[in-house]
Order: sequence, then C-alpha cells, then structure tokens
Amino acid sequence: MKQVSITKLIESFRNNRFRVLKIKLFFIIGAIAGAPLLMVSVIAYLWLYGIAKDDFAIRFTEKIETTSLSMDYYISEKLSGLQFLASAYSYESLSEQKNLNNIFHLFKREFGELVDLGVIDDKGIQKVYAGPFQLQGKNYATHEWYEKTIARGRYVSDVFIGYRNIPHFAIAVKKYIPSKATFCILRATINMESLNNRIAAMGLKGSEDAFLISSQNILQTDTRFYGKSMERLVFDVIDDRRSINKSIEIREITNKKGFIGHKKLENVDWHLVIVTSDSPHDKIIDLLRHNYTMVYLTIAVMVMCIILNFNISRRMVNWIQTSEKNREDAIAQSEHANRLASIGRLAAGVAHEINNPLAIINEKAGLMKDILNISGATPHKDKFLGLIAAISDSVNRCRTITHRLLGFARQMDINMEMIDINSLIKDVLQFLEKEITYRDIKLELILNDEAPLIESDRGQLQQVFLNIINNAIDAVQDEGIISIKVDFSGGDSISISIQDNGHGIQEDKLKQIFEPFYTTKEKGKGTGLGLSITYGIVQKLGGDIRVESKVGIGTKFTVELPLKNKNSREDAKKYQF
Amino acid sequence: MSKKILIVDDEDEFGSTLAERLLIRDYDAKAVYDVEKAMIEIRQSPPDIVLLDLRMPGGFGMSTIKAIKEISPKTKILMITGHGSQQNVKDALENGAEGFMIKPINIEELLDKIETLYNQSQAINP
Repeated sequence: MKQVSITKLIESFRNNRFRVLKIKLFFIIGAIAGAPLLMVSVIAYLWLYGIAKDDFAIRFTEKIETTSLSMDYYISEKLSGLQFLASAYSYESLSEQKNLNNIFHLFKREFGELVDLGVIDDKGIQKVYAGPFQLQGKNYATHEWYEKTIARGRYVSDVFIGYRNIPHFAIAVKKYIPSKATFCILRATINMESLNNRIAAMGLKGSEDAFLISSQNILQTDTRFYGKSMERLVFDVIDDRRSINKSIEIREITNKKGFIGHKKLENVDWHLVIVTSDSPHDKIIDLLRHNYTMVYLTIAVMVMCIILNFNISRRMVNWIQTSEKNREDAIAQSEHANRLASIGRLAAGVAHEINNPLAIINEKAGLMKDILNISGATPHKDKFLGLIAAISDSVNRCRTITHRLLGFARQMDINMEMIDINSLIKDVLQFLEKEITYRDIKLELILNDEAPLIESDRGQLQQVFLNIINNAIDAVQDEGIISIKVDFSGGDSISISIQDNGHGIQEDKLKQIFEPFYTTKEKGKGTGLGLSITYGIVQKLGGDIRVESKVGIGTKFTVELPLKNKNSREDAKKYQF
Repeated sequence: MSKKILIVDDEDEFGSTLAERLLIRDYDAKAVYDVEKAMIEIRQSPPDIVLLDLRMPGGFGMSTIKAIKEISPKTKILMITGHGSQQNVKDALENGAEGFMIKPINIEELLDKIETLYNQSQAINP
C-alpha cells in the first residue's frame, strides 16, 4: 500500500510539473508571438493617431479660422459703420440731439444690436446721447477706452460694467473738428449678450466650448465650463500672445484629454478660444466602431493565436512527456535486463559449484543402492533403500533447480525458422493434455487462421508458452477455465493471450513476477525462474510480454511477437554466459 | 566382451563412484583424474567410450577431445559437465564429441546414451 501511495505521489508530482510547464510554455510562446503583434498594433495605432491628429488639426483650425473671421467681420462692420458716421456727419450735426437720435435709429436698423450712440467732447464729457440710459453729461475722461481711442483714433474696448451696470463693450472713433481745432469721440456700445449669441450661433458640440478673452486673460463672453464674462480665465491660453499675433495655435491640454486652439481677432485685443475634449484617439475609436470587419478580424486573429498557442504548448509538453516516458522505460528495461544478466551469471556460477558435489552425492547414493540390490537379503535393507530413495529424490529436486538455473543463465542461442503459431500452441498443449484432462480444466482455444507465419525460434517459443500455460494450470482450481487466443490485426506483430480464472496476483506483486526466484506458488512447487526465463526469451525474440491480473478474477498474459525478428544473433549473445 | 569405459574427471569421488556403479553393471569402467593419465590409458588400451569432464586441470575440453580422437578415432566421447555453457557444448560437439550430459546425471539416462553411442560405434566399425 505504501509503495502504491509513493508511486501515486510521484505520478501526481510529475503531472503537476508538466502542468506548470504547459502554463509556462503557453505564456512564453504567447509573449514571443504576442510581442511582434503588440508592436505592430502600437505602430498601427501611432500611425493612425498621426493621421487622425492631422485630420483633427485641419478641421479644428478650419473651425477657429471660420469663427474668428465671423467675429472679425462682426466687429469691423460695427467699427466701419461708426467710422462712416464720423466721416459723413459734421460735429455740429452730430451734436444735435434730434439728429443723433435719427442717426442712431438708422445705424441700429442697419447694423443692429447697438445699445446706444453718444458724442464725447475733448474733455471726456458725453455731450449728446441717444439710447435707453441717462448717460448724457457723464465723464469718461479717466476711462481706459477713452484714452486709447484718443491715442489710436479708433478702439474697441473690453467688456465692462460702466455707468449702466450691464456688461457691454464700446466701439469708439475719434473725429477731428478742424474748425475748432479739437476733436470729439463718437461712441456706440453693444451688450455682451450679443457676443454670447454670436458664439452660440457657431453650433458647438457638447464636447466643445468657445469664448473670447482679452489680452489680460479676462473672459469677454460667458463659457460653458470655464466661468462667466469678466472673470479671469483659470488657465493661461497662450504664453506670449503678442509674439503669435494673428496666428492660430493648437495644442493638447496638459494632463487633460482634449485640445485648445485660439486666434487673435483683427480689430480688437481679443482672442477667440475654442476648447474641445475630443481627441484623435476618439476618431480612431469612431473609425473602429464603424468598421466592425477590422474589429472582428482582430478578435479572430487573437482567438486563433490563443488556440494555436494552446495547441502548440500542449503538443510540446506531450512530446516532452512521451520522450521522458520512453527514456524512463528504456532505462527501466535496460536496468531490468542488466539485473537479469547479473543474476544469470550468478545463477550459472552457483549451479556449477553445486552440481559437482550434487553429482557426488547422487553417485554415492546410487552406488549404495546398487550394492544393496546385489547383496541379497541384508538387515534393514528396505530401510536403507528408503533412505537412499529419499536422498535421490532430494538430489533430483536440487538437480531440477540447478538445471533451470543453468537454463535461465544460458537461454540458448536462437534458431530462426518460419513458424505457424497456431500449430506451435497445439504442440505445446499436447505436453499438458493429460494434466488438463485430469483436472477437468476447460480450455478455450481461439486460433486465428489469418495469422501469418512468424520468424522465430520454435524451441524457445515452446518453452515460453509451456511456462505460461503451466502457470495458468497451477493458478486455476479444478474445472477452471483457461483461454488461449491468437490475435492478428494486420500489423507487423502477432499477439497471443493466455487468460485464466485463477486466484489472480496482487497489484503490488505484478511488477516482480518477472524477477528471478520470485514465485507466488507454494513452497517447493516453483523455482521462481520460469517467468524470468520466459521474459528473457521473449525479449530476445524481439517481442514483448505483458501481464494483467485482478485478485479473485484471474490473470492474463499477452505475448506480442514480431513477424520478423529484428534481434541479431550478436545481440542475442549478450544473454549468454 | 564388456564395453570399455574411461571416466576422465578431476572430481575423484565422482569418477571412482561412477566407475564402480558401471562395473556393477558389467562395464569395464575405469576412472582417471587428469588429462595426462587419460592419454596414457587411451594409448595403452583405447576405450569404447570416454566420459569426459569439460573442465579439467591440464586441458579445457576441446584440445582433449582432439587428442583423444587423434589417438583413438573409434572412441566415442560423452561430455559430462556441471556448467553446461551452450557455447562450450557446441564447440565440444563440433570438435568431435558425440554427446553431453549435465551433472548430476541420471544413471539410467547415462546407460541409454552409452548403449546408443556404443551401437553407433559398432555400426560404423563392426
């Protein structure tokens, strides 16, 4: 039981080792095969990303360009209109409230979205005002827009609150008054809401935001995500706006998915900024999403790789496992043959040394018997003859053993001839016929007429089958059953099985039955050499012998013999002593 | 005229006992214990049959067989061995021995062989 447990433990350890090897191989082959695939995938992705990024940049630039042009047009239209008013109307005409009102209404009708129109003198005082607020007389001398308009001649201010408490921006132009050698400023204002409406008209996507910022990074319009008008933008859009004046800059948002692009407007110190959380990566995903063939193809290739990998690793491990088993079997067979050879040499030596004194005992006993037989009636003659007979019987027992030992050691040279196995088995059975009949054993003989002749040694094969059938006879009870079957399935070997319904052999003893001197028979009934001789002969004839047995059910020996013996005479000699 | 048997075996107990048993059976049997004495005996009085041990001091089988056959070609040689090496037996038969037996021998079998060999000898050389 202990031996079986250790065997199972070793088998379990071995299986576990091969299982681990299989997993390792799976991952190694996967890594080897997957690395180039991954590399190609990364390169393909980077290539696609580059294309998508270029495409994305073009589209994004176009959007910024278009929108900034629209905003520029919007501002310059108002500015040009005001410039026209300043040129077309005299200061006196503009200073008339009634005239200014009319001009304002015309101007508003023409350009729309104007809130008011006013004339500010060279002291910064609003002299005339047309609009909804009470701003006449207000002083703008200290206002930034006023100073910049004087300096530049025309100016569009940032969005501011002013006197009216509503976010708006001013468009102003400076008008010279030659008759008075002074100037005045014509100013119109527009609500910030108008700018918001212009931005909203861009038709932004949910992932986009667009807004205007001043040169001081102050929001000029409301945004979706980054604050309200007149608040400071929480991040810097550009590092040095002046250096990239009028140019479009697009860059990825640091630590954030998306892109930001901006462009400075023509007539105002504002930048149009567009922010999008879209990216070229989304484009690739969209592309894949709309191109299922590629996705299916990729998945199919991956699945194929995994299956292929699994099969390769399984086959490799099986191959290694088989090789290892074959090697172990070969080693075991070689060890077994060596052990038999060593024991054979020993047996031959022992037999020789015993045979000589045994021969002396035999002859001495024989001589005593001869003398008694010719002496006529002598006292205790019968007693002596009985004793001599006992000596002779013991000598004969020893003789049987030593002769078998010599037979085991010798295993005579093979003498090849073509043999009909059916006929050979019938011949062997003739030797045992009396025993079989006497014990009323049922013999089932299934011969095979299809079996071809085999090249083998008749005498040695007879010994093989004699030994096995003899063992079967010993194993079965009276009226037991012995089946002998010849099988030939068309290959290069023939199979002969001898099955009995005897007591069977225990599993742990099965491996030992071919060992010399091992016997399961009662003491004095077996020498333990029969099956080891049988094993040696079958091996020498190029065949194989197997045994299966179950206690209480019976034992089956199967002898496989080649149709042609491959073992050369020289090979066979190594079994001799 | 009884059949002349010469036993050549270095195991003197075996040789002498076997000779005695053959004498009881009316054979003219004699035992010698080395090859030299055997050759002298054969030259002086060639036996019908020699029972020859394969391994002997002063000669290992084959040369002894050849020597016997040279001196007395009519003499039949039956090898008696405790070892029974296949090759040795084969060589002995090829060198002129007529049969072999493995010790310990059965007297009945030995007598059968002796008679067979003697009859063969008589058939060839009446």
